[in-house]
Amino acid sequence: MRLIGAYVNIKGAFEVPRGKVKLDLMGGDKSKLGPGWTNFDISATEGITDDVASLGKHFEPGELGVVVANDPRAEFLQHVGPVLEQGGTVTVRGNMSNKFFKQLWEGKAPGFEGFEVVNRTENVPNLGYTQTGGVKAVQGQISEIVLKKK
Amino acid sequence: MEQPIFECVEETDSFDSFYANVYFDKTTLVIPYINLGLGDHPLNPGKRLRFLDFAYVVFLGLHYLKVRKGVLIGGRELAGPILYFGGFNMDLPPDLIDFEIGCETAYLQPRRNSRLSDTFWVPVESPARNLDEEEVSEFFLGHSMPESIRQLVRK
Repeated sequence: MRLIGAYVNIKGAFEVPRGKVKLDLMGGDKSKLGPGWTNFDISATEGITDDVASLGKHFEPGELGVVVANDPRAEFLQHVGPVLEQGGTVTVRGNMSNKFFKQLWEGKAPGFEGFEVVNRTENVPNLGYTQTGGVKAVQGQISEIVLKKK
Repeated sequence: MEQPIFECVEETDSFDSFYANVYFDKTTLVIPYINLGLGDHPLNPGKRLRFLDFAYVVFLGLHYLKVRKGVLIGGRELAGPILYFGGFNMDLPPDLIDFEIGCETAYLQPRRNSRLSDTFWVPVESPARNLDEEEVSEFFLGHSMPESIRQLVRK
């Protein structure tokens, strides 16, 4: 539901920061990235509660400046592209057993053609990532890919 | 559902899965899995993952196998397309983590009574647990193993 400069999610009022938005995509119930990040997750209790395929309902073209997706659990790049500013970055961290991360790492994700790879880094620090909705800590190696919108 | 499924093994998502008692020799790898995620797959053609409670993933004709602690079989340069599998290893201590696999054939082998769910199957102590401890233990001990899998791990 779009209001003037603000959004309302099912849990209540949530104001989107002015200027370019820093989006914690699929960040879970609430963002773990700290102040200034807007959480967007289908199960968000803080932030915007919706499916990633509906990103375009919440943001104008070019409204996002930076997107981070840790352990994404759905395809998303084709939905981010239209609402990310030109030159905006998408940083994705995950394990290769995660098919959505693997698609990105291998350059096969839908929407990938609209981005260039800034870098790929294997074995980045595990910042407390969990699996199965937080039941267990991720045992495997975490890698990171950074993309920039062409 | 007990028929082996050779299509779309590379589309299997094991990130949220649990496994234990992995079997492998020089040519064969069998991973018993709980909570494999399937999407773009014959059992779930949709994009959104659905989760299989109990199943095996079988890799035959291994020519490359790497886990986190190192390469166990072959070398990556001759491996061809790589399959990636992982999840949470319930062995104590966890030994085999982050599988990189090159092989001739791979397939998913559900059990006859395997179930698909829109939500996770959780086999460990947690408020979200929804699989019986005894059933989980029996699965990993191979008590309900399909005969075709039993023949592979008996070789």
